[in-house]
Amino acid sequence: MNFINKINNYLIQRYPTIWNTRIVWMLAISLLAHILFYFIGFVSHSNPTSLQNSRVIDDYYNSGLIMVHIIISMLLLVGWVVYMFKNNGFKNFYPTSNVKLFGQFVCYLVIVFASISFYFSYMFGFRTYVNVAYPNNELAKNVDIINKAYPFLSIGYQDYSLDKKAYPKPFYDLYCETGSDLIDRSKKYFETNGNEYQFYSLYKVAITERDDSGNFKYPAAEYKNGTDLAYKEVVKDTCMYYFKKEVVDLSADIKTTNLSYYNFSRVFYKLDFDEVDFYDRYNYSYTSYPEETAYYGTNPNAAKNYEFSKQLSGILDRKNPEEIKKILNDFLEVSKQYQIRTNLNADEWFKLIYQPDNFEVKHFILENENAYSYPIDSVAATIDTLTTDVASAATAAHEQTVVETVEAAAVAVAQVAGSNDKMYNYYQQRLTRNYYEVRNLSDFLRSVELVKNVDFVSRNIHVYIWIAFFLSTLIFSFRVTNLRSVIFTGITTGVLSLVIGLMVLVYSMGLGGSEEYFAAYLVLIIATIIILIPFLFMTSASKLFTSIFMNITINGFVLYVLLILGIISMHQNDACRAQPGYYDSYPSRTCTTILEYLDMNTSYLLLAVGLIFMFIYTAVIKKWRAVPE
Amino acid sequence: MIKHKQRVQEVLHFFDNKDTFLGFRKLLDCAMDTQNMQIYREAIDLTDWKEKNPEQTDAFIVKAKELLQKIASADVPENKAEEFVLKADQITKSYGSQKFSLGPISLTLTKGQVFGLVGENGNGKTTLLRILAKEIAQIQGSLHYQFTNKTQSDYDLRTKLIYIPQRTDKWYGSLMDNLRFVLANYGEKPEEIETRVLLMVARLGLWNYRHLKWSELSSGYKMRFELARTLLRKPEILLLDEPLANLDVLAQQIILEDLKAIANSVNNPIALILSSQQLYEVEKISDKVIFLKNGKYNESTTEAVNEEKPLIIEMDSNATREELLEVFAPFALEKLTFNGGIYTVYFNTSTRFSEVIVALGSADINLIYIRDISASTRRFFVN
Repeated sequence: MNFINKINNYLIQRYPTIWNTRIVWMLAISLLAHILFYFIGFVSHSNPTSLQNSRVIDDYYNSGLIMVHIIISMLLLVGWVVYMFKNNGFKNFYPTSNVKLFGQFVCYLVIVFASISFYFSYMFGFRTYVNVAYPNNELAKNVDIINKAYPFLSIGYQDYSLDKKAYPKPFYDLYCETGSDLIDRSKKYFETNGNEYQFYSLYKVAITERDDSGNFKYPAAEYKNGTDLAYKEVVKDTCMYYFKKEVVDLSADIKTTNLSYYNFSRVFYKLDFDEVDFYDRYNYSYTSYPEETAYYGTNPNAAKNYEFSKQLSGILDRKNPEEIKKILNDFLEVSKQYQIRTNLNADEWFKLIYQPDNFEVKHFILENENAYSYPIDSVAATIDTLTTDVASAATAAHEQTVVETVEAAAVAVAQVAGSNDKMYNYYQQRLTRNYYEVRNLSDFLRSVELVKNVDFVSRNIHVYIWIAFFLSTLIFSFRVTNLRSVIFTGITTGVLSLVIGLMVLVYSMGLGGSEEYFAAYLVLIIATIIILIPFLFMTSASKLFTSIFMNITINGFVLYVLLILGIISMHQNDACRAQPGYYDSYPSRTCTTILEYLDMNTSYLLLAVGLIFMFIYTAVIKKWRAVPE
Repeated sequence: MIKHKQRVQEVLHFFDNKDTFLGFRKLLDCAMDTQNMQIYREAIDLTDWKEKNPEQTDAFIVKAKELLQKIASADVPENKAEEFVLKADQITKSYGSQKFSLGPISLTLTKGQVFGLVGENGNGKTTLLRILAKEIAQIQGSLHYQFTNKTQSDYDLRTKLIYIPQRTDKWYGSLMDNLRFVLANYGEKPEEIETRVLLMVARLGLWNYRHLKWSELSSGYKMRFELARTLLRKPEILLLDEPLANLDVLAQQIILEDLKAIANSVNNPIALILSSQQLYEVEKISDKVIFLKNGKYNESTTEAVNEEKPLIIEMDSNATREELLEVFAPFALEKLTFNGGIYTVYFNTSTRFSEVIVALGSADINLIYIRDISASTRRFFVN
């Protein structure tokens, strides 16, 4: 108590503004709260199962923690405001400078920000825990173990079919046709359980022109000759069409056409710390859709990993039971550490997979405990199981995708299931009761990697910055004017919004046309008038009247700047669309509006503008305060 | 320098007469004038000692005299304020549809002057004060201020126009913090703030109340704290609206004397305007009394006393009107009015007050109260 008084005394005598805003104490208390949240973050995911879901990064907002956060923030802010409002030098006409007044505002901003930004401490705690519990080198080692053993997990059958083979080299380079109506039966092809495979060499044609609807044109010569298209790929402004050249006979390299571990060529999980922002991959489906690839598919061999396949073939060729058992054992060890649910044990598993002749896949393992209870013959169940299978296969195959839309998966399932019931029946009959929750494993790894790498600060800071900014302007306008004025400011804002809303409504119903522009310009005009009122009527109008518009300006200037940027962007966009041939040449990507150009920097820019504005505006506030009623 | 020495001598004289209560307050005034932190601290220590040992008057007087010696040797430059600090020229103000209008009023105030502003309720006292404080704008006329340091902006000007309304705002938080906050805002040296605050607290007799809460103070002490806060701002103009309201008679006297003494500070004189209903008390300390009636004003200056004036007496008595008329018959009585409680008697200029009293005494009239209000603004009230 004595200590607090001493510090208070020191501050009041030297830095009255700092004493008055209580910033020292508020920062100290917020620091304690931040430490608490850091600690909560640190212990929140100490159970590995809590990391086994796909939205771990949002746990803070989905758990009750956000409520705790809100309550603590509110208590802090209310307590602070009560204490700070005890003294107000500005209202008492104590001497103050523009800088001091602005300094007060900055103090508010810092205090409010410190009192509402616990999320970051939580996440730092969370990250620290993940880094401590799952250090990078150990994680990399474990991922290696997992990837090595994953082929033996025998979940699903697609990964083991002949078209997935990547070693030796020809399998990696050639295109494998699997569509039964596209197989040239006059040439060499392979067949097993109703699945057919034919290998082709390819040649490519690059196209850059587009047709009227913006799609790439189809190569004319191939169209004329009826050459079969294998697949196409879009890279930037060029579309690569890959056409089939000729069938290649790979009989010499094929030991068996059945499902085999030799065919497995997909790396289950790839760690890439420090690479592209993981969060983008995570939200891949709706943030950065690479143009067109999603609609036309990619090189089917892209998912194959030659080196991995080569390594796996090496293991299989050695046929060393000890070596394979060690791989399985290590894998189960890691699984245990990560608490992935399974009923596998190394010996039983080894028996399921060890087929030393050709390492054909004779048994399958469920991907979760309940999968087996589905009625086998039901089409629904078929589709259901396959959906997940295909989804997870596709997911892992593309490395960066996580979530495929259900429709896409269903289509894929229909194709697979429709084209070959025989293969599916083979799979069903060989399903064992063993399970391994592989989805949880991939979720777990993804969560760990995400928490380690995601830039949660710059992704979330804007929300907190602006909450803090607007709360600060509100408190500031209350401090420099009075409660009555703030209340009337609220009422005026409400009425103005209502009037603007009605005017836009009437305009859009009566006159039609572009109500976006009408609304934007109407708001701009009204806002400009509001900003000018305190300047024009400072001495002639009543103090309450000018204070209302002064308060609206203080609280809304940043939005005004944003509106201007928005209007500029609207015009830029329209100008771009008005260009001749806009829809023919697909130039939209070259038309960057100012808001698109600034992107997230808009937030920082507006913050800077807001601060500069507040500094300049303190002169107006002081002037207003001095005006007699 | 001379003025300071004179004041110290006066104080010594008070102590010689064992008039410690008044003497001590005057001593603190002198101490305050020195602006010497060492003397400030000693004065504070003395105050503390005095409050802890209220019985030891003699020892206190010795200590006080010792301190006075030091104070006397301090160098106190006189602030020669001859120029006006406030000049109002033909100010008018009206409210509503001309239901009430004030002015035109002109006045000039120099530092060290005390103006009393009297008048019945609703006659524009508060309005005038608020106009002078720039709280409200006048409709016509102009206001000029002239401070030691030129004002940089309107806000800067407002920091110097110190107005205490009749109902002061509540103080929140510690009283001492509020006082320290003032000095810190006025850019006082950090190490001097505490000392200055304590001396001001001591000077205004708040020593034993400084650790209380605002809500625990009586209205008189609230006014004193408000005054302490105000004086710490080193005002050059001080506008007080009804500072005496809610105070008992004794407290009124003390605070008026204090105000007068503080306004007449040697090196930091203040131009003071205060409004009040307490005519006699205000008249006693004011250099000039402004009487407002229906927004118009009458000036009553002390210089005007020398002029020939008709004698006006105010008195209360059990005697009947007839008895009084009989007593006053020999004098040139002009008018006798009775408002239900008090008689007001108007004589012509040749009548002297002493003669009237003699006559009343000889007639054995039972006098409860009598006063010569010829020169007082009181005469405007009763008229």
